[in-house]
Formats: sequence, C-alpha cells, structure tokens
Amino acid sequence: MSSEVHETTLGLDHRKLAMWMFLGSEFLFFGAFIATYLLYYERTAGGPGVELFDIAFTSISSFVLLMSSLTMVLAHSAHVKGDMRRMRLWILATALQGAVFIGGQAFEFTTFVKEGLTLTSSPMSSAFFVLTGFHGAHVTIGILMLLGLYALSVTGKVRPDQHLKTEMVGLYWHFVDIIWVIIFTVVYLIPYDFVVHGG
Amino acid sequence: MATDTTAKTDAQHAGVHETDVHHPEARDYVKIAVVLAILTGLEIAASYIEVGGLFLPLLLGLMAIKFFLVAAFFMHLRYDTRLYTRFMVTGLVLAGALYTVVLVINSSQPGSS
Repeated sequence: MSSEVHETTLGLDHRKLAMWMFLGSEFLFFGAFIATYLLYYERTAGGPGVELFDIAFTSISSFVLLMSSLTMVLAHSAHVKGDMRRMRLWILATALQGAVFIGGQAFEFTTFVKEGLTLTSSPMSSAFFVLTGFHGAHVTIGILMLLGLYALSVTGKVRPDQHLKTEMVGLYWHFVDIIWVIIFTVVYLIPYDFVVHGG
Repeated sequence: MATDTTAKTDAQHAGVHETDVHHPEARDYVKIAVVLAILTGLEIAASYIEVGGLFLPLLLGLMAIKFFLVAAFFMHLRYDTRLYTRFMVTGLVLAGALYTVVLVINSSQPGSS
C-alpha cells in the first residue's frame, strides 16, 4: 500500500471500503460454520462431545484475545498521534496476545484428540474443528499482518502519516476478536450448559 | 508520478466523514476494555451459577453488548460512514438467514434430531 490517492467516487478510501466488504463476506463465511455446528453439536456418534470443553481454560484464552483488541486500538491511536515507538510496542503486545491465544488453542486441540475427539470422529467434532480451526487460521494470519506492519514500521516503509495501514490491520484483528465473542458464547458456553447441566 | 493529490496523507483520504470527528482517547479505550472484561466475567459466572431460564437470554444479551462495543468503538463504526456499518449488518443478516434456512430444512427432514 502506498500513500497515493485511493478515493472512490463515494469519497471514501477504496482500501478501507474493500476491507469492510471483505469483512462483511467473512461474517457469512463464519455464519455458515457456526450454523453447521449448532445443528450438529449433539451428534457425537457415541463419542465425546462438548462435555470435554474446559470452560475455565477457554475463558482465559477468550479474555486474552479480547484484551488484544485494546492493545490493537491503542496502537492505532498512537499511530494517529505520530508516536511510532509506542505504536510498535502495542503492535508487538497484540501479536504476543494472539500467539498466546493460538498456543491455548493448540493445547486444547491436542487434549481433545487425546480424549478421542478428532476431526473425523463425529459430525459434532468435524463442525467444531473446522469452525475453530478456521478461526485459528485467521488469528495466525492476523499475527503475520501485525509482524509485517511492525517490520515495515521499523524500516520506515510505514510512516507516521500513514495510520490507515494500522487501521486496516486493526479492522481485521477486531473482526477476528468479534467472531470469537460469538464463538465463545454460542459454541462453548451455551451448548456446554445445555449438555452438561441440561439447559 | 507526483501530483498535488499524491501528497495527501491517510488522514486526508481516509474518508469524508472521518477527518472531522473526534475518535476516543486512549483512556476511553481502556474504559471500554474494562467494561468488556466485566461482561466476560459475567458470562463466565453465568455458566457456573444457576440462573435458570435466564441463562440463554442473559448470555446472548451479554454477547450482543460485547459485539456492539468492539464494533462501535474499537472498529470505529460509531464515527465512520454508515456504509461500513451496512456491510457488516448485511453479512450478519445473511448469516442469520442462512442459519434459519438450514435449521428449517434440517428440522423438516425425517429422522432429524
């Protein structure tokens, strides 16, 4: 991305417009997987299901991801003010929190597989792993974008007047967070309560 | 090729509605994050204590508030042009419609649970 003119006929920057169109389509993408999971979460084919969820552990991961949205927006705020040192600090903090979340997800997946909940063991497990796996892939891409932004900032290719670049990465990151807000409630908390406590 | 317009900064062509508005300060973002943390705590607490029939509406309500706070303030939808909000709402409505259609088709299948 450069700082050349990118306005559309609407007077909006076409990069930001494209990002919002992309994010709108991503809601549909994740909506399909969440719908599939909700239809299948009780179809465990006699194997383990949502009772394996460790709500306390996932709550901590969710909290870390939620707080990464704060550090991301602080990075953008610092960039708007031209404080590139602080912007880079918050960018690294956001990437670190994302890495903690991915580490937690890898641990969770490993535990589930050891307990017999694998990608192909039941309709429920397939729906669960595809949904949360795709979300994890999005978080990983977000971390790479953050590290790329950090590197470009260090080398001077992202200047203090180019804060739209940080905002674009931030929009993607907040989207990843907002999707997890839905997944945490609809995929973890509600089905767990219905199955384990009988609703 | 340098022109007058290429000298514009991101702030100038980030959008017609974006340059004249006040975005929150860092301390405002921290306040929003504290509210988000409290709401997450309530969600988790609701999973461990018996709230009966309130459980589902309570959790969906908390989720909706968290969603709104992140979208409105962290994603700046409250301050940006409404076109961006429409893109998001369109995606959400289509996702909801998709779920409803799949649920209806699935429940009408013989032997479906």
